[in-house]
Amino acid sequence: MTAEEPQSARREHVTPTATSNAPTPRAPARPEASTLRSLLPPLLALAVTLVAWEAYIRAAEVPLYLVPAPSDVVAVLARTPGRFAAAGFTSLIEALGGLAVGAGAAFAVAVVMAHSRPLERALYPLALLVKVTPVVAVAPLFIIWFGFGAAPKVLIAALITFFPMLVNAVTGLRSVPPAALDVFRALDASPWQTFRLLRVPASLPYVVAALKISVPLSLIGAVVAEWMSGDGGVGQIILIANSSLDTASLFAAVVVLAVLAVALTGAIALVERRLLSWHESAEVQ
Amino acid sequence: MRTRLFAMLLVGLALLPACGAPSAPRTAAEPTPTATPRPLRDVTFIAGFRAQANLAFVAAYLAQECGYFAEEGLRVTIRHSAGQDEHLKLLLAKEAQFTTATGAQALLRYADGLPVRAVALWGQRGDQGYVARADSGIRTPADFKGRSVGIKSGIVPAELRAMLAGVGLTTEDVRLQGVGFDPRVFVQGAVDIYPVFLGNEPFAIRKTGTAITTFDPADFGVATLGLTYLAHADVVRDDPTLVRAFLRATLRGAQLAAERPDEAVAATLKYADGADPAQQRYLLDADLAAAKRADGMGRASADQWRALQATLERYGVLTKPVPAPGPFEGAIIGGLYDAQGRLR
Amino acid sequence: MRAACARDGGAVHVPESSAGSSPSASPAIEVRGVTHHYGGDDGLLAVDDASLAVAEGEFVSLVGPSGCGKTTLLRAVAGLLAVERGTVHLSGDTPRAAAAAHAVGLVAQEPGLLPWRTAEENVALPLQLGGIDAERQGEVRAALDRVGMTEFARFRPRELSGGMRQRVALARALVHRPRVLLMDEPFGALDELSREDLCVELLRVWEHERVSVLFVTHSIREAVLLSDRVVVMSPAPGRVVAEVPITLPRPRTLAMLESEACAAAVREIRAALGRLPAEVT
Repeated sequence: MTAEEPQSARREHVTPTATSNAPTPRAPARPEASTLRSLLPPLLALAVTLVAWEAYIRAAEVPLYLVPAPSDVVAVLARTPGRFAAAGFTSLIEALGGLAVGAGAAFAVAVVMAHSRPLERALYPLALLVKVTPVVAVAPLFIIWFGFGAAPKVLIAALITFFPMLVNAVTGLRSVPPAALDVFRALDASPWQTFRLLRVPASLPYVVAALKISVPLSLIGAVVAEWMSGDGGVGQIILIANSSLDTASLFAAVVVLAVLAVALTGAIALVERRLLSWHESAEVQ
Repeated sequence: MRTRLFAMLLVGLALLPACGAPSAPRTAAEPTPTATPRPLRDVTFIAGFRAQANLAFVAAYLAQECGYFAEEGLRVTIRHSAGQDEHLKLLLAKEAQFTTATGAQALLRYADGLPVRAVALWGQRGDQGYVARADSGIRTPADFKGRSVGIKSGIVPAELRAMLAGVGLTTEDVRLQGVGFDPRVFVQGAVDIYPVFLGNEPFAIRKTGTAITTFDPADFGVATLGLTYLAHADVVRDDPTLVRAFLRATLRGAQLAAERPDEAVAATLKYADGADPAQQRYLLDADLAAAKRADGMGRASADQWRALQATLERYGVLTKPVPAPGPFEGAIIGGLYDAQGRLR
Repeated sequence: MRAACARDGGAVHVPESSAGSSPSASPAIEVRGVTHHYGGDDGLLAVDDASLAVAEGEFVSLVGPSGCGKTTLLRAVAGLLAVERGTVHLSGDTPRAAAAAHAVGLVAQEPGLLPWRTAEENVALPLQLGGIDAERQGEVRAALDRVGMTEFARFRPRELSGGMRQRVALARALVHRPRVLLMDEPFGALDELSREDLCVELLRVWEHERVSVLFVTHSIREAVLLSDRVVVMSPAPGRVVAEVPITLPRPRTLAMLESEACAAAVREIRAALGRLPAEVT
């Protein structure tokens, strides 16, 4: 600094303060309180729906073999909770296995497709074929090839979750900000470094979004596979309940599925909050 | 498209002579048809499975094609179940007036307190059994021991338990394996003993070149019943005329099927597009054999139903009491036959 | 003192470096006869036989209207594109070799920060890519201090303003002590006050570091305030039409923007921009 320092020199060393386009600083959050408060509206809506449903069934004397009342469903669940819990657990494991296999395979294929446009063009029709193949056609073949047990059901669940994850992962892996890519290249980053440090983290929001879509799909896949083989899990309960007109058990099975779906999606939301707090889509507390 | 229409025309023409020779002559006491047509009643019949040559279905197909329904003053819509057991629900909701169900299903739903009655019993013996590959060394139920036995929908049928009990075995002595509805798992050897509809899958399995041994529970002293016609209890109680009309038309159709099974298959093919005529014929023949009854097709005795009830109770399939008078309403169909077992 | 610059286009010259190194040493950046089309051979001609040089420790701005190819030239120097014709060297190395030697720092108009990393993790990136582990913490801290972002080290990009993000980008570009700093309209997305703040910040940092800088901008005043020399390019196809030395004393201050010397330089540059390029023989 020279001797004659004009008044404006004081402005020379400007510490960054909240300028006109600065965002609000972080405020401390109380997660427990806000979670509870956010749960209230849906719980309230659910309660109102259940009460209305029960009232209508009673008033219109709708027979049990057509539609059960919520009290009937609760009674069935209370009578044999172990049966529903065990079936739910079986379906859950199959669904998770399918999710892992399907999402894993999809991500691997996506990595290939993201790095090579010719390969993407070559593989995309095959991926579409996987998507539109009806489970009904494929399930018996899987049972023949992979035997009874969990394998065919996991594979069917994987089949259903494959496509949404593939599409999202390819988009995500390509969604790197070009300026960041330039910086990587100017720093002579290797392809592996670019993949590991840039593409994979950039793809995470898309991957998590695909997981949220895939969770209910994987459950449906597992249940449909069980339903076609009559071999345990929630799908078997649905099959038996349907053929004996046991609508209460049928709806109870659906409740079990809904609980599983909500729990899984909630788990993913937790993971999301942990991993993706940096993303624009995350809530600003 | 044109050839299909032509073929249908040919079949229709072929049926005309068949239909035109009624073998159940009307008695002189019947009123002569009046000049003015009676108003037709709309009836829905929903078969409990997809279109195929089960006698219970064929009876309706022929009654439709030959105008027997019309002669009874009925305008019948024939529908088929999509396989989701919705036909029972439709019957209970009175969206359909008649449907089919096995004797066991009729009994179980009746015991559940549902307002259903069986008004005709087509299968005097059950139509479900088991198959094993001919080279597997399984020749009798005693050979089931230690082998894998498929069960559909996760339910262990009473027939299986009864067959095993007959040779001193229980389900603990076999390996139960949930199977789907595709017999290829059996053909590929994934399961040793496979549950089938005896008139159906064995034919298809033999077509794959696999030699099989069939096991009919009735051969081992197990009391089961085949398909019935099911109606809503309210209809049976308040409108027996409708039931009588429907049964009369379908019984005439069944008789025609017994006399001219080829035409019966042709009529079935109109509903079951693309089915194998040979397989349909095989199925019809099996059902016709199971329907033979001295005092007239479709009838049943209280003893038969009691025997079925005993079997189901013994093996834990039926756990509720069966209120009187039981699921079968025999009076209406009984009134259609004379003492010699001929249709009046 | 700065060497006199040629006023008519295309001549290559190697100015004496103010750091006093031997005049025959390779310049920090040397661009010779570069020609390049947008989008392959059939596309628009972006740059036409352009040449310029930046001496060691010199701050050179590249100004011109939009589409004059200045970004293309900068990207060529950064090794982000290969030119069709002509040569680019950084202290005698090819751009790729210079990148491999971690001799280049790049700041673009978009900060290009990784949103999932904190400010300090972003600044650490060049060291991480180069496999330099041990001194990392200290270097990162120092770089953040230099741009005045110490207290925001743990903040994520989405919690920072545009100006703050560019400061972090600048720190990242300097943390690995490159020989050359390339900047492509880095303050273009900011409001005027932030631009001024960041110019001051850049000057202060540069006084400390004395890297060789090639600074692309379309703001003439900014170019005059920051540079030792301003290279002027014509509209597309871009050619170098003038090089204007800036004789303002260092260290520069914002007040100098009001001076007559500054106004003169601005006039000269404007005149050069209004001129047609000289015929190429």
